[in-house]
Amino acid sequence: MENLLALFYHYQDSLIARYNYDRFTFYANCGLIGVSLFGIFIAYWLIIYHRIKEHLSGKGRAVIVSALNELFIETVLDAPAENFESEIPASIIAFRKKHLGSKFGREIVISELMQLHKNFTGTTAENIRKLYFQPELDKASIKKLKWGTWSRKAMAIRELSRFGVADTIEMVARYVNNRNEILRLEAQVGYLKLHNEHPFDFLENLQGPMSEWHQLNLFNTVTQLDRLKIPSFSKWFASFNDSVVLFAIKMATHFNQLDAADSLITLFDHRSLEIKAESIKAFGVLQASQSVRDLLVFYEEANGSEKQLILATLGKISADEAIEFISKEVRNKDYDIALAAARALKEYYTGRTLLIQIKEQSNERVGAIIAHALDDRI
Amino acid sequence: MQKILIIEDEELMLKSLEFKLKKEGYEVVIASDGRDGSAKIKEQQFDLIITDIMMPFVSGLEVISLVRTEMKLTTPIIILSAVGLEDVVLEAFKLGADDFITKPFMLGELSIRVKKLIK
Repeated sequence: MENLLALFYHYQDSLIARYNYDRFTFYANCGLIGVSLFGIFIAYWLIIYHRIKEHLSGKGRAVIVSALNELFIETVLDAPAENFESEIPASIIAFRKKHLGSKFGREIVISELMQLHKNFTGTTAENIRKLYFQPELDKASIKKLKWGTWSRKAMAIRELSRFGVADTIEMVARYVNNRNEILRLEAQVGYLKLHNEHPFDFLENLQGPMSEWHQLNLFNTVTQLDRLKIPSFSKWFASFNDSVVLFAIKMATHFNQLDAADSLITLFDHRSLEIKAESIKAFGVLQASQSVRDLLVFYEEANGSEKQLILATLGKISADEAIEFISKEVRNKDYDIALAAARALKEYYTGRTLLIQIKEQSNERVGAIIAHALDDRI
Repeated sequence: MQKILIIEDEELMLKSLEFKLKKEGYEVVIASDGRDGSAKIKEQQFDLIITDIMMPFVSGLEVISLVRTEMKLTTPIIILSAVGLEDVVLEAFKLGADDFITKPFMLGELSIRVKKLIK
């Protein structure tokens, strides 16, 4: 070390003397070079460390996955449920001792069990659940939910809801308004899956807007769950959160909740144009004939695009009491409204005949609109 | 012994089905993707084919098309897929599939359907 320092001082003096360097600049440059070299060394060390770690964990993962697969096929796949009730097979006990002692092992086993559980129903699925619950892997998931980063929390919710750990519902509910969108969505999906009595109650207190993608994910979950208790969605039509109202309208129409029609009428006065439009469309999907009069009243105050939507909805409902009104609107001076009316009338069983009659009795302009509406190629 | 071909890219699912059907007394040949499966269909004769839909290289729908349109075989085909979309199911039946099982499924159910078709 002393020799090195002596060498440094020797070169320092000769360099400063030869090139007329400023002493401070020289030291600053030397410091900078030193720090850079140290940084490069640390970066290389970290890269090598992570590569080795990744390689070893990959190998470790492969060993655990292979052992679990073997155990699954030989002991779990086709075993009757009773096999796991009274006495746990020795092979499972040996597997637990060998692989579930470490956090790393538990993580891999949980993720593999999730994958397996997705593919099976019946006894096999029940046996996979037991592989999760018996060694208390649910505790590992709960711990992850309590202390993990947002991504680990999201994963934990997915695990708990996959295996139906219903008593964690309160913990999951804490994240339904989380500022992280992925965690928030995962918590809402988890709530749906875990809450046996009122799975949609989280909608009550939803603060932020639900994006289309978000709603689509929830909808997808709802359609995949067999035993979900479906509430009357009209109770969320009065929500302060517009996206909740939109979601509730979509769900009410999907589940064909005709009793929601009366509450839908109240949305005609909603401040959101999107909600107004969706509620009008919903009448058509529900084919709610009892709402025709309300639609006709609202029509008087509606703007152009709303009028077109109402006409389309009246066409879908195809109630006799609206025929006269729609026929009159076919002659409307506004081209878009007249075309929407013609198309609505076409939806009626006798619509084509009626349109041809109107065409014969009308001027060229109305005739052209009707011809346009009757052309199935358009 | 009746011979069944299973084409499935998910390794554990493939092994599980192989185990189950072997246990029930069938001779089982496995293929881990559509290309491998198609090659085996061209080489050997099977009494039943079970295939996934979404697979690398060659899809399950292409496998059905190969069996029914190109090779003109009447071998029963069961589709086993996580994709339960109406369009896909209809397309599979249109191409000539005999049955469609959506994942998740019960192993017992698969056995019964296999037995029914292999008769």
